[in-house]
Amino acid sequence: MYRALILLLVSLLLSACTDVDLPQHAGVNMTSQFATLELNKGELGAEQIMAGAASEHFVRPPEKHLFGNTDKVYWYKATLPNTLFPHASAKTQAREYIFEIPYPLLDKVNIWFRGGDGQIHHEFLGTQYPFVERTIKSANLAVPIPAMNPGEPLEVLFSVNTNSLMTVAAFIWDKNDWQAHQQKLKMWYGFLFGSITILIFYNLFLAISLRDSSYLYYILYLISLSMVNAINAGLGEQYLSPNSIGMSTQVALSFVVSTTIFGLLFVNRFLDVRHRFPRLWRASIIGIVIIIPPAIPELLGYFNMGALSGILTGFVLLLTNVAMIYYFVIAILSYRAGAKEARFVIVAFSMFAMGYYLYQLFVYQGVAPSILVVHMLEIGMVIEGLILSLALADRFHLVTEEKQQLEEVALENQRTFSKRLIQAQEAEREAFSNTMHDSIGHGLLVLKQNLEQITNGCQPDTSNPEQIAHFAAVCEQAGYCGELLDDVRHMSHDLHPHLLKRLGLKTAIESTLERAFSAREIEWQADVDDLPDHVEAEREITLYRVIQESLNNILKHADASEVMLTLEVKKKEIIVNIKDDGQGFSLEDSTRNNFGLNTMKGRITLFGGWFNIQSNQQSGTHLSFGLPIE
Amino acid sequence: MAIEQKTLLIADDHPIFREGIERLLSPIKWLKVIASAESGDAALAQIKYLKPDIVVLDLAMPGMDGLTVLQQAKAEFPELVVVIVTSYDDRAYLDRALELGANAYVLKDGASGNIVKCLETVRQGDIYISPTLGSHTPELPSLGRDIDLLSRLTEIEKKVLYAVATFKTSKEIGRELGLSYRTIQNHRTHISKKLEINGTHQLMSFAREHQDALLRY
Repeated sequence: MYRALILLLVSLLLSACTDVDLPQHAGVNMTSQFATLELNKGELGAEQIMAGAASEHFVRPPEKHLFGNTDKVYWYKATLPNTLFPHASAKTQAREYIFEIPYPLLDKVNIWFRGGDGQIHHEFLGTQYPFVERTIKSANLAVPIPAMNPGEPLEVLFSVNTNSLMTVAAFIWDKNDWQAHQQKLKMWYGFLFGSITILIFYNLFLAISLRDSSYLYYILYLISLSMVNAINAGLGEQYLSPNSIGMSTQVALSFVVSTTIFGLLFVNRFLDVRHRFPRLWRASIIGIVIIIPPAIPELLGYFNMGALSGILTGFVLLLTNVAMIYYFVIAILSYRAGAKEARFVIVAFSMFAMGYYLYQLFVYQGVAPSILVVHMLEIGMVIEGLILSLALADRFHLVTEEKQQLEEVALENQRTFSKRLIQAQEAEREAFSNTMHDSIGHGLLVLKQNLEQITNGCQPDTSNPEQIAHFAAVCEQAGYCGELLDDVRHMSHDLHPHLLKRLGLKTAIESTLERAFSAREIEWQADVDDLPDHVEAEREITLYRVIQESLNNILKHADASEVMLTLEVKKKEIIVNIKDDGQGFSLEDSTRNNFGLNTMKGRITLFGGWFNIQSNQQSGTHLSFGLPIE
Repeated sequence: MAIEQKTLLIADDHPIFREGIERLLSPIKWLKVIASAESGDAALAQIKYLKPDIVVLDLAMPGMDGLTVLQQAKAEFPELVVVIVTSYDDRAYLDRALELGANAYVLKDGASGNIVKCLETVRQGDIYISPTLGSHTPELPSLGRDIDLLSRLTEIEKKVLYAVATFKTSKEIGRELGLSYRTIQNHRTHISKKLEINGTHQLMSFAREHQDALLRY
């Protein structure tokens, strides 16, 4: 069932990646057209630059242009040829084209166009401006290009001021392509976060039913990672904080931290690192402890921390990378130590690492910003999520199997223990019984005979009342001895049936029936002829004890006038039926009998037998049980 | 007149009891106690070595128990007279002991009054059993004539017997046949008599054995 679910999700994802949802980037990359200049804040205004100030200082951007964590403002300037806008018209198609900077986490982006009317159009974007004020309400940083005169080029100037570690690219889109692209992006994110939601609920279900915390860590890991991705894609601005400013960048790092923490906790628990590799486990806990503080000022962080913020960000990213290495090392070590589930961790984190490092390459301008690379982190995440869910499902399987085996072993141990206990109990009872019979019983017998000897030996003087009284007293004591002797014999017999050992089960059962019922004028019928000659001693005593207990119950509670007992052998099983015509009892409210009944049942089930009892006031009680014989 | 003396061995693990028996038997002129044994193994060895005429044998002894001693001694010396003296009053022990060829079965609880009479009886070659256990009657009738026995029963008795075979109590049979409990009990007593069965306990055994035959009627 769970495998089918996972397979369905994987195939959906693959088809989504290949054909359906992953949007094709139809925008034109303009990045190489721009010249760049780094200035201090407020050093020059946009209008001055548009008027040509410092134009000699603008240079082609270096091949790897990476910036961030600074108060500097980066200016980008380009004059784009009209051939790029074939459908441009001054009047009718004013907003035919869209300008995009495809990295959503830049703090402040200001854009100026000089269009066909000679006017300067100003637009602003970025996390430090409220989302609701954007001209185009998109997670991507995009603005409309104003109307142009045919044949005239478009002058573009934009400035970037950001704390995030970032590179810059610029695209121009045909508006129709842009809208189609946005639609596809929506579908892609719908699919992505829908899949993650399914995985979260699925694992939540497993966590609750298995009570295994590794699933919970995994869920928290998935949630954190999804949040990182969502914010990275600009969706945080759009959905979490459309009215406020600067939320995303503060929260993003906190989610990177929580992703790392829960990832570590998950891997530790899932691969039982604490017991397998205690030293590495301790190291990971230290890592968790030291990665927490940087998340807090970032979260609280309205204060401008300047360079410290950059250091903290770098520190967190460093630890995140160390954690990635840790996952691999642990997974490989665990796999070599025989933990099968570790292979899933290796594969899953490989997929994620591939996505992550490809994405990092894109950030550090190692690869060109293609649509696949931009979404690589998201793809890595969802594949990893699926594979780890599969791993957890497999663990579910393994755990169930393990549990079953353990339960069987425990049951077997319990049985062996119970059997030993019963053996010991029987041996003790036998010893007691013998002592009672031989020492006490014999002593009483001798005492009784001696007393009788006294009365036999002399005749009382009939004229002496005192002597007659003495004589009577001695006779009375002898009689009392006799009663005591009977009691002792009965007790001794109940404790351990000496007949069982000497004359066999059949005789012992009949004798017990005789002892129990004949004196009380209860009719009894027994047919035990079917009993095999040899029954293993343990089973024999079990049969005897259960029969003895049920006969005792009849005597104590049933008020029966007739008791029937049959014993037969069917299919290697001894089946005993005991029936009385007494007053019966209700099984529900009979707490009185339950202990005895449970003991009987317990002794029978120890040998894999069955036990059944029916009782009502009309027909008395019918007890039956079966005991397998080898 | 010279009396032919018989030798006797006492096998019992209780010294008081051995002494008591010896004291009780001392007046008997024709009897001479030659040895005593405290365990089954010792008893058997002494029987082989001393070859007594009579053994007074307890059933419950450490090691080999009395019944085993009886069986082995009788196998080797069929002429040996064995008097079982025991505190077990179960019929089952009596039956088994007689089956193995014991000549007497005396309960300890009464031995002081009976033992002399018992030994006189076995000297004559008869079997003696403690009066409290009742007279010993032979086992069940032989099975060969069972079917004939069934034909002695009336229809209603056969129905009752069949119902007994199917594990029904007298109350249930009464309800089934529309008769009173007492009537069913009477029927059962009559059936037992007609079938020459000792006591009603054996009735179900018999009925179940002949269930098929009963069904045919």
